[in-house]
Amino acid sequence: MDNYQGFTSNQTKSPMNLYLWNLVINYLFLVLGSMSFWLIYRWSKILNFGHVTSFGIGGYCYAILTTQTLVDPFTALFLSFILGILVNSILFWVTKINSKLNISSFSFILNIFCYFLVINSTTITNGNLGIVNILAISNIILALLSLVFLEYFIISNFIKSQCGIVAKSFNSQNLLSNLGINFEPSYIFALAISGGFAAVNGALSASFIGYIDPSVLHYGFIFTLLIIVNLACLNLSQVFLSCCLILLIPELLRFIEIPIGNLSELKNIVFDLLLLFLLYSFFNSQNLTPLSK
Amino acid sequence: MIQILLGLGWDFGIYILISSAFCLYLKYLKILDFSFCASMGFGAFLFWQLHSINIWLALSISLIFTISFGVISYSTIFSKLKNSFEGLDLLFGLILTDLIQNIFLILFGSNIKVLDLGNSKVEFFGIVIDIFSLGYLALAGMIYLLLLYILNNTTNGLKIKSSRFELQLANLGHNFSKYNLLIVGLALFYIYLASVGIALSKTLQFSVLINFTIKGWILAIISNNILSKVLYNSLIFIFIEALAIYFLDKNFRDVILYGFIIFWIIIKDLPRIKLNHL
Repeated sequence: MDNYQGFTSNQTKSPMNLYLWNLVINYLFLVLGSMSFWLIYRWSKILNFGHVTSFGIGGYCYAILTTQTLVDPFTALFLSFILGILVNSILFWVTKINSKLNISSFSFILNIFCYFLVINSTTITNGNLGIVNILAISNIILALLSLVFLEYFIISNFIKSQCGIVAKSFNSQNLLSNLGINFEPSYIFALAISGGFAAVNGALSASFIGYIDPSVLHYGFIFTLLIIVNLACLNLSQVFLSCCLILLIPELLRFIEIPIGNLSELKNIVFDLLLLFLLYSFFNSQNLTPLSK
Repeated sequence: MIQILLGLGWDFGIYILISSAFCLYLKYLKILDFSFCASMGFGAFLFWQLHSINIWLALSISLIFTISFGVISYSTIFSKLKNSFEGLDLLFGLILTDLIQNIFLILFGSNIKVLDLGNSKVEFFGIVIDIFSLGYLALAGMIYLLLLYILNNTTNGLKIKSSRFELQLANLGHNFSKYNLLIVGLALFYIYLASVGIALSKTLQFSVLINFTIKGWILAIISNNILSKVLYNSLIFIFIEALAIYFLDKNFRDVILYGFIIFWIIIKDLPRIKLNHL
C-alpha cells in the first residue's frame, strides 16, 4: 500500500482485498461529504446546492494547483478548503444583499453555471483530465480518517453550543431579529464548515480517482446526499449508518444475477423502488410529514 | 437574428408551459415536483411510440398516462409532503424521474427518436417560417392567457388562488382538496402539452426532458412563482438564448446564458428592496 500505482499493481493483494479497500475508502468519502451536508440541510434546514459546487471547485482547485503549479498536495488541500468556505460565504453574501432570493434556488443556478464553465475548460489539467501528483493511498486513508474524526468533533460540538442552536432556526430569522439575537455568525459558520469540508472531500476524491471531470458538479451527488441525510434525521451519528446502507444496497444488487441478460437498468429500477419504499415507510413510521401529524 | 428567434418558437412555447406548471405547484401547493420530468416522459415517449398507428389515439393515450401518473404521485407522495421541509419533495421527484427513465430505457431503448413532420416551412419576405412552430407557440400562449383569465376572473379561479392559505383557512372549515386536485390537473395538462411539443420538435431523450424541466424551474424561480410574469420572463430568456446562438460558439452558450441568469436574479429585485427599506 505504498502509493496508488502500487496499490493497483501489487500482485500479492487479491482482487477481493482491493475491492474491500475501495469500499472502505468510498464509505469514508461518503461520510465526510454527508456530515457537512447534514449540518447545513438537516440541522439548519438550508437546501444548499453550493455543497456540490464546493465539492467540484475543491476538486478542480486541487487538480490545477498540483498539475500546473509547484504547490505540494497538502497545501493544495488546504487551499481547496479555503475556496470551499469562500463559495458558501459568497452564497450567503448574495442572498443577504437580495433578501428575496432563496439560497437553494440561487445555489442551484450557480451550480449549473459552474458545470457549464468547467465543461469548456478541457485545458484545465494540461490538456487531459488526469492528475499527475497523486497522494499515496495510505495518506488518503489517513487524511480521510482524521478529517472524518475532526468533522464529527467540530459539528457535534457546534450543534450543542448556543451558536448551533441559533443556526437550527434558519427559517425563523424574523423571530430571532425581534428577540435581538444576531443569527448571521451562526449561519456563516455553519455554511463555512460545510463548504470547506465539501471542498476537501472533492480534492481528496479527485486525488484518489486520479482525474477530474465536470461530472463532479452533477446534481446526482446531491441526490445521494439527500437520501443519506434524510434517513439520518436529526441524529448526526445516524449518518454513518445511512451511508453504510446507501453504499451497500447497490453493491449487493451487483451480485444478483438477472436471468434475462445483463440489464443494468433493471438493477437501477430495483434500487429506485427500494429507495422509494425505504424513504416512504421511514417517514410514515416517524410521523415526520405534516399531514401524518 | 429574426430567423433564429423564429426557430426558437418551439422552445418558447415549451418554456411557457413548463414554467406555468411549476408556478402553479410552487405557489398554490408549495411543492417542488421534479417528477414533472417523469410525467413528460409518459407524454412524449407514448406519443412517439403510438403516433404511427393513429395520431388521435397517441394523443389521448399519452394524455391519460401523463395525468394518471401525475395524479397518483401527487395523491400518494407529494400531498403528504406539503409544508414539510425543503428538499424532501425534490428527493422523491428525483427518485421517480430516475425510476421512469430506467423503465423507458428498457421499454424503448436508447436509439435516437425523431418525428418527421414533413415540410412545414414557408418563405415569407426571405425569412423561413416553421408553421408548426408558430402554431404551437400560439397554442401555448392562448392556453397560458386562458389560465390567467380563469384565475383572475372566475370564482373557481379565486378559490384556487386562496388555496395557498389552506392551513389558515382550514380552521374556518374550508376544504381545499378539490381545488388542489384541480391545480394538479391543470399543471399536468400543461406538462402534457409541453411533452408533445418536445416529442414533435426535439430528439427524444430523457436528458432533453430533464434539461427542459430544469430550465422551466429556473424560469419559475426568476418569475418569483408569479404566473403573470412567466410570459415576459420567458421572452427575455428566449431572446438571450437567441443572442447566444447568434454571437457565440456552441460551447460557451450555456455559460453565458446561466451567467446572465445569475446576474439577472441578483439585481432584478434590488430596486424594490431598496425602496422598501426607505
